[in-house]
Amino acid sequence: MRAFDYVDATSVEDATTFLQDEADSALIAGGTELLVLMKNKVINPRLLINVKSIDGLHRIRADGEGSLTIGSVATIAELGSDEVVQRSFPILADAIRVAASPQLRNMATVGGNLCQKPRCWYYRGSFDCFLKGARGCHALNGQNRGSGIFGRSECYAVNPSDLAPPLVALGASVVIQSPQGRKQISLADFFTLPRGELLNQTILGRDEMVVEVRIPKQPHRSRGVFLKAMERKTWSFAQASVAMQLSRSDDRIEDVRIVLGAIAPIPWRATAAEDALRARALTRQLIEVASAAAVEGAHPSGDNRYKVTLVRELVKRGLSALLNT
Amino acid sequence: MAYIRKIGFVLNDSPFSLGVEPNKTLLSVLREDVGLTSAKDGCGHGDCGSCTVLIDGEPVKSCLVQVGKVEGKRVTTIEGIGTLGDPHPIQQAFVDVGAVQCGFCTPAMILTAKALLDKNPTPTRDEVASAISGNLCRCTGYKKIVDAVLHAAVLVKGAPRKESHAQDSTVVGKSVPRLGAMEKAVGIAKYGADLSMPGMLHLKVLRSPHHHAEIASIDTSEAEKAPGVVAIFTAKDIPGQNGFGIFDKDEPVLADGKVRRMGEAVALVAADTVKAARRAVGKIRVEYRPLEAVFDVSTALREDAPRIRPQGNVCFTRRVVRGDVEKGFAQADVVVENTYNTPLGEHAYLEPDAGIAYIDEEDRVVVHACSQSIHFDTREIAAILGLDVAKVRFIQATTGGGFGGKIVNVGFSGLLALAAHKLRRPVKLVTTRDEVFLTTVKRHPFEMRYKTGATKEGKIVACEVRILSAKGPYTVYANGVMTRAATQAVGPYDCPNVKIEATAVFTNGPTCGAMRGFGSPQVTFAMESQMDQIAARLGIDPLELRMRNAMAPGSRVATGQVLQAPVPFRDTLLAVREHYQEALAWAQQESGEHVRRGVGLGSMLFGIGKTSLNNRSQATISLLQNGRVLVLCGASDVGQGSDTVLAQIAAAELGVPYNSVDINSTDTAIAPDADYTCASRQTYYSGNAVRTAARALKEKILSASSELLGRSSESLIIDRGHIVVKGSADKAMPLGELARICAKEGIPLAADGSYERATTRLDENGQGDPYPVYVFGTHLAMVEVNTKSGDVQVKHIVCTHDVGKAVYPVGLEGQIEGGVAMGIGFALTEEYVPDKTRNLRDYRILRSTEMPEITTIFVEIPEPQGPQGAKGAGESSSLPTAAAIVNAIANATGARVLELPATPKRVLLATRNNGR
Ligand SMILES: Cc1cc2nc3c(=O)[nH]c(=O)nc-3n(C[C@H](O)[C@H](O)[C@H](O)COP(=O)(O)OP(=O)(O)OC[C@H]3O[C@@H](n4cnc5c(N)ncnc54)[C@H](O)[C@@H]3O)c2cc1C
Ligand code: FES
Ligand code: FES
Repeated sequence: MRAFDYVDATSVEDATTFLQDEADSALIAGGTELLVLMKNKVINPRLLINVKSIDGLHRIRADGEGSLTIGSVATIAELGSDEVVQRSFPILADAIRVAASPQLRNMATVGGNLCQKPRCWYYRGSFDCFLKGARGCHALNGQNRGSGIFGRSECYAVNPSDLAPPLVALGASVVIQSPQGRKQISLADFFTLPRGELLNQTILGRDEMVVEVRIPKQPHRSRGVFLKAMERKTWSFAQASVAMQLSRSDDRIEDVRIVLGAIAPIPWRATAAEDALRARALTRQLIEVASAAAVEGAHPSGDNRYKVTLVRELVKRGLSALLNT
Repeated sequence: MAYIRKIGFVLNDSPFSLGVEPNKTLLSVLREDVGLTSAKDGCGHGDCGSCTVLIDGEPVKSCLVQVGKVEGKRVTTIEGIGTLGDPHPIQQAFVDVGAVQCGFCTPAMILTAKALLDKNPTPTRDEVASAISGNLCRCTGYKKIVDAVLHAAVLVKGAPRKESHAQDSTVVGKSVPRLGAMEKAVGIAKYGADLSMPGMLHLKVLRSPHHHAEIASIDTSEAEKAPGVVAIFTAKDIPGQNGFGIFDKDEPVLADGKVRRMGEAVALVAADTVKAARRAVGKIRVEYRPLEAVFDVSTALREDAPRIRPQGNVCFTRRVVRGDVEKGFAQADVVVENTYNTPLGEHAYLEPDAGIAYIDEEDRVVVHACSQSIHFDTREIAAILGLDVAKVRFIQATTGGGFGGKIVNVGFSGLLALAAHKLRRPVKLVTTRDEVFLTTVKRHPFEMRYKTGATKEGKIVACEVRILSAKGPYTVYANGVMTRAATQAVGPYDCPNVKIEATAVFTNGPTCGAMRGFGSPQVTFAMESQMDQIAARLGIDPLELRMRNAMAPGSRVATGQVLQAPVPFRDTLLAVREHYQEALAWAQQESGEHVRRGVGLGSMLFGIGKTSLNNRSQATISLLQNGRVLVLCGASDVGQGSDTVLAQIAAAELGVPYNSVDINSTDTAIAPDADYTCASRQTYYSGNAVRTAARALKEKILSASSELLGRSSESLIIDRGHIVVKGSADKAMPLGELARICAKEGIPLAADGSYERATTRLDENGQGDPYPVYVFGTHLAMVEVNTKSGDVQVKHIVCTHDVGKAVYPVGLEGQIEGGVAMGIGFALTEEYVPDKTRNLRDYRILRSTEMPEITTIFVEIPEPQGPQGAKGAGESSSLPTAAAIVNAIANATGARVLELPATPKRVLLATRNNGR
C-alpha cells in the first residue's frame, strides 16, 4: 500500500470538509473493503478519514412507532443482533446472517457495505476497465459467471451488497451530507447504473458521505423473505439473492416489493413481478406467473445464464414461503 | 520517508502506545512493531481468519484493520489469555482433545472460541461451527476443534480435565498430549515468518509474467540504485549447480536464459526492508522474447509441438503389465470403459512458505524455515552453493502444514540460502498467499482411460488403464507420482490381467509435484467408479462386489508382488457393513423436494514408503544425566504428529514416562537423516528406527545397571523411569542417577538405530516389490443431491482404516478427519485454474460449517514388522472419500460424474445425460 495518513473525524461536517479539501482522500469506516482495494492497488488515497470516531454515528435508534434509524458506522454485527431488526425487519437480519464472515461482520459497517465496490475480477485485478476510467468491459466476452443479467450499461459488474436488497425492499432511505448540506433520498435512488462520466454504482458525490439509513414502519401484516444463492454453504458473495416484502389485506396483495441482488449493477426491482402480484390473492398459479415475470427482459451474456433460472427459482421459493403466512 | 503517528490502545490488559506508520494494518503492527507473532498472516485478504484478534472482546480479522482503528480500544491476542505455565481452559481443551495439528490456525481459533464462550457459555455444535466459520483450518477437518470448544465450555465451569497419560510409559494406543501443541496454543511456537535476527535483510523475488519465453536481457542497474537495496541476484550468481529435484536436477533456482512457466523466479532482491525490496523488484527490467506455450497433453505430444525441454515433451512413463489383458477381456461378461478427469490441486497449507537464513558460528549456511525434508534440502542447497554438505544446515521451523507441498521446496529455501551465502548476513523471505498459489507445486491433473472387464459372477478379470498428466515444465516428483498411480491403479482388488501405462508430459502450466497420495487419489476415484458401474451392470451389491474381489494374503498386486498376511482389506469392508445397511435404509426415507439421497463406497490400498526407493530412517536415543531421554531423528513433523508418535514408541520401548522424552527432529546438525515426511512413511520407517535405537539403549542401560547393582541384567527391568528388580516393588535406581554414574565412568548411554526394508526396482513391465507393506481402507458416503440445482450435500462419512496399531489414536483420528475434509474438497469444490485461482477465496477448501459428520473406525491388526504393530496413515484417509461421494451421487440420481470436482454444473449435466 502507498504511504498515507489518517485523521479521526469528529463530526460529519468535519469528515465532509476533509473530503472536500483533500482531493486524494477516502472515508474509512470498518476498512474491510477499503484496505482490500488499497492492497490490490485499485485505489491509492493519500488521506484516510476515519468516520468511526464520529460521536453517536454508530447508534441504532427505534422511535417506538415502528421505524428505525441506523447510524452509518453501526457494524453489521450490531445491526444483525438489534432486537427491533430481528422482530420487525427479519429479512435484514436474515441477510446479515449470511453476509461475510463473523469476524468481518464485527468490523464492517452499514455505510461501508452500501458503498462497497463491485467484486468483478477485472476491476479488482490489474486490468483497465470502465470503472477505472477506460473504455469497455472485459466481462462481456471474458470471465462473466458473476456478471449481471439486468441493467446492462457500460459495465457488467453486479452490486455485491447483501444489505442493499432487503433495505430497498423495506423502503429504506439514506441521509447524505456534504459541506453544502444534508439530503434524504430513497435508497433505491441512491444506487445508479454506471454510465458516461459516472464510474460508480451510487450517486454519492466526491465530498458526500452517508450519515444514516432509515427504515420506515412496515404496513400491518407485512411479511418478508430473504434468500441468497451462494456457491458455498457459508459466507460467500451472492450468485443471486432476492428480498421481498409484501403486505395483504383481505388476502389481496396490497403492497409488494421484490428486489433482486447480485444480478445487476444496482439492487434490481422486479417490477413486472410486482405488477403481476399487486391486488391479487397469492396462489400457486400466481407464483408461477410472477416468478416468470421476474426474469422478463433478462439478458445473460454467456456463463451467467444460470442466473436466470436461479432468480426465477429464488422468487418462486420466496413467494411460496409467504403463501401460508 | 516513513511518516510516524502515535497511537495508544490497551493490549492484553496493559496500556500501550507506540509510533507507527499509519498505513499499516493492525496485524503488521502487532507482528513487526510490537513483536507479538501469534496472530498469523495466512492470506492478508480476509479469507483465512488466521490473523484474528479481539477488539473490545469481538473477533476481527486484523489483516483488514487499519491500525488507527484501535485507538483507545482493548486489543487481545492469544498472549493475553493464557501462558505455557498457566493456560486458559480453552487452550487446555484444544491440547487435550487433539485439536492442534500444524497449529497455524490455532491461536485465531482459540480467540474466536473465547469470544463465543464469553457470550454464549453453552453453545451447540452448530453454533460453534458457525462462530468459527470465518477461520480456515486445512489439517483437522474441524471436528476436533468443535469438540475442543465444547469441552472448553465445561472446563471453564470447572469440570475436570481429560486424563492425559503424560506420566505413563505404556502410552502406545493412548491419547497423550501432542508434543508442541501447547506452545502452538499459547502462540509461542515460531513459524518461518515469526523468526528474525538483528541486521537481517529482506528478500523479494521477481517472477516471470510469461508462460514460456526466452530472457533476452536483465537490467538491474536502476533497481540497484533504489534506496535500501543491498544486492540483486540472477542465475549467473549461483556458485554451484543451478538445478534441483528428486529424480532430475532440472528445476532452476533462478531462471537461466529461459522461463518455462508463469511465476518462475528470475531475480532475487535483498534490501533493508520488505518495502524497499518490493519496490526494487518493480525496477528490474527484463526483456523477454515470448515463445509459444503449451498447456494440454495432446498439444504437447504433437510432433510439431514447441519443445519445452531439449529431450522432448515426454517426462516419464511407467508401464505395469501382468497377465494378458486381451485374454482377460475375452473371458469378461461385462466391460466398462470410461475416461475420467481430475483437476490441478493446491495444497493450500495455511502457512505461506517463510523463513530466514544466516551463517552460524561454525561457518555453516543455515536455513531456518518450513520444510518436510530437511536432510534432502540440505544436500540440494549444498550443490546449489557449491559447498560441502557439512557446510549447510537446515533447521525446520514450526511448519504450518505441508501435504507434500513442502517436500524439496528448494525453489524457496534455495533462494534464502543463496542470499545468506553471498551476503554473509541474515536474510528473510516470506512469501505471500498469491505467490504460494502462483509458484508452488500442484497436484497432477489426470486424464484416465479405464477399461475394466468382469465375469458375470463379479470377478474382475482384466483392467487396462492409460493415464496422461500435464505436469508443467519440470520433473519434480513425476516418476514417483506416475509409478504410484500405475501400481495402485486397480486398487485393492486381485486382478490377474492388467496393462497400465502412466505418462507425465511437460507443459508450460504449473509445475506438479507431490500432494497427499502421490497420484493415488486420482486413480482411486477412477477405479472405484468403475467398480460401482460393474456392480450396477451385473446387479451385484457394490459392497458384495468389493468382497468378491478383495485382496487377501497371497494375492498379487499389479506389480506381481505377493501380499503377506495380514491383509486387512476385507476387515475394513466388514467394519463398514452395518453402517452401510443403515445408510441404505436412510436413503430410502423421505427427503426434501428435488432432493435425492444416495450412499456410496470407496476403497483403497496404499503402499507405505517411497516407491522402490531407498527409505532409510535413522535415530539416536540417549539417556541424559537429568534422567530425561532425548530422541534425535530428522523426521519432520509438519503437523501430522510424528514427534508425538516417535516419543510414544521410545517411551514404551524403554519403559520411561512419556513426559520424560524429548525429541529433536528439526536440525540437520543434530538429528540424523530420517528421509522426507511423505508417503505416510514416518510412523513405519522412523518408528522402526526409534524402536531399534530404544531397544539397543535399553540393553545398554540394563547391562550398565547390572554391573552396578551386581545382578544379572535379565533380572532387571525399567519401570517408569527407574531400574527395578523384577518381581520386587522396590525401585533400585532412578535412571538419572545411572546416567550420572555412567558419565563419570565414561560409559555412553546412547544408541543408534536405523531401519530400511528391501524393496525392488520395477522392471520394464513394472514388475517387482515396490513397497514393504500396504494399508487398506473403505469409506462410506451419505449424500443428498438437489436434482434441480445439482448441489451435493455430504451428510456423513464413515471411514474404516487398516492402521496396524493406532499408536496415537486422537492424532490418527485427526489425520483421518483432515484427510476426509481434503477428500471432500477434491470431490466437490477444489480446482486450481491457472491465471484464475489466486487465493483462498477462489480455491475453495472446506469451512467448518461445510463438514459432514465423520465416524472413524480403526481396524487394528498388528503389522508384524511395524513398530508396536503400526503402519502409517498420513495419506490413506484422503484417497477413497471422493470415490465414495461420486458413487453416492450416482446411487442417488443415476448420474455418473466422470470429472472432478463434481460441481453443481457437472452434476446437472451428468443427470441430464444419464440420470434417472
Ligand atoms: C472476505 C470478504 C467477504 C465478504 N463477503 C460479503 C458478503 O457475503 N456480503 C456482503 O454484503 N459483503 C461482503 N463483504 C464486504 C463487506 O461487507 C464490506 O467490506 C463491508 O461491509 C464494508 O464495510 P466497512 O465499514 O469495512 O467499509 P470500508 O472498507 O471502511 O469502506 C468501504 C467503502 O465505502 C466508503 N464508505 C465507508 N463508509 C462510508 C460512509 N459512511 N459514507 C460514504 N462512504 C463510505 C469507503 O470510502 C470505501 O470506499 C466481504 C468482504 C470480505 C473482505
Ligand atoms: S490473514 Fe487475515 S484473514 Fe487471512
Ligand atoms: S491445524 Fe489448522 S491449519 Fe493446521
